Amino acid sequence: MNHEHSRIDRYVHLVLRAGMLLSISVLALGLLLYALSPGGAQVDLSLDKIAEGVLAGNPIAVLDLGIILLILTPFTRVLTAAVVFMVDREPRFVLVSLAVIAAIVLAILAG
Amino acid sequence: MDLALAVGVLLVAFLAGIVGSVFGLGGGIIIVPALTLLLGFEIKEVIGASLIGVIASSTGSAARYVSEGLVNIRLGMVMEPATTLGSILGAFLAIYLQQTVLALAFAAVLLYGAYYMIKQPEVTVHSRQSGFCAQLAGRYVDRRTNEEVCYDVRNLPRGLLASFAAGNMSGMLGVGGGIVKVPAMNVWMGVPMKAAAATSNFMIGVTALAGAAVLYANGLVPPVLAATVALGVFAGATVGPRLVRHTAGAVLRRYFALLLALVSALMVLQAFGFAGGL
Repeated sequence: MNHEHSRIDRYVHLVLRAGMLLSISVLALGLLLYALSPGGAQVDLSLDKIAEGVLAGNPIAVLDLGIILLILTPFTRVLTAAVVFMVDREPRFVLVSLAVIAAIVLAILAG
Repeated sequence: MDLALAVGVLLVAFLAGIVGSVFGLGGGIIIVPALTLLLGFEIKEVIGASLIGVIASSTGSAARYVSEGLVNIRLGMVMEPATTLGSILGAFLAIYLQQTVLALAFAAVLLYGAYYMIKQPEVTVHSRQSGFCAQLAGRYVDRRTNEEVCYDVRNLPRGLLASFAAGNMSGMLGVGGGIVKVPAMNVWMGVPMKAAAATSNFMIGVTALAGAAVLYANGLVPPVLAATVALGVFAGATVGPRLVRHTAGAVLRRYFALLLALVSALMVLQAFGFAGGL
């Protein structure tokens, strides 16, 4: 049995590429803003503070947004894989994807 | 952070992005010692920035390797839970076990891996298997030779055990799991060197993401440093896959073996308290 791996490859590639380009642009913008007005507390903001801060043009909030986008990218590609395997009717690999998600959640809860 | 320091961080991250993406290691192994020992950052801020760099390295290089067909997505995803669970257990065990003994034990394992990779030529199996392993079979076109490479995956249980151990090692010692997973895939599971490194790159983002999320929630990811590292790593991770394209798998394998020996030596030094946090 030889599988065509193309569909899963295509979607995973799309997610990784989009996550990369998105986080690069936001991080570069954040660093530019920071270079223009350095200083300010270097903190990891919570999600609501980030939304507020980005609208106010706070460089740290923009950087935090970029970092969160980057952290979310691998997670999004696992979710995407789960959906593609579901559509392709590959129950074994749907289970594998769910196991990956469960392991990630467990690791975050244990940390 | 002044401009000169920022350029220094970018350069370190760029180099880490290249090495990480070529060998499937993530690059933390370069970022952490270089930023602490060379550039004088505190280990506490470097760990968070380094994990963000590892995700950048994984994302950037895997995007490229997936489009070249080098990543065995199914195999990677089958191994991911084992690695992640291993790292959870490792983090707990680290509290109770003697770090020195652990570091020495892993150093010995890595040295053995290096010896094996230099001594034994690569063996890939083309025969058709049945069952779950057959679903994991991989195929890609080597860009250097234009040859189509097909391989079956062997010894899955042993490979899962190795990726569990790889996670363990990263949880206990902070050394990335790639340094164990790549030789395990290559030597035991019959995955060609280029595919093993690419698949390891692909997997590393998932292993790092949980750690990064936890550090972020605890305020341990310094935004400016992490962003600078990420951008440098992304740049390096676009160069690495290009180098791989023009390098023979056997050459890549030899360099990996040397790297294994080097990391093994660093771990011995670290165990006796000579080197900064790896």
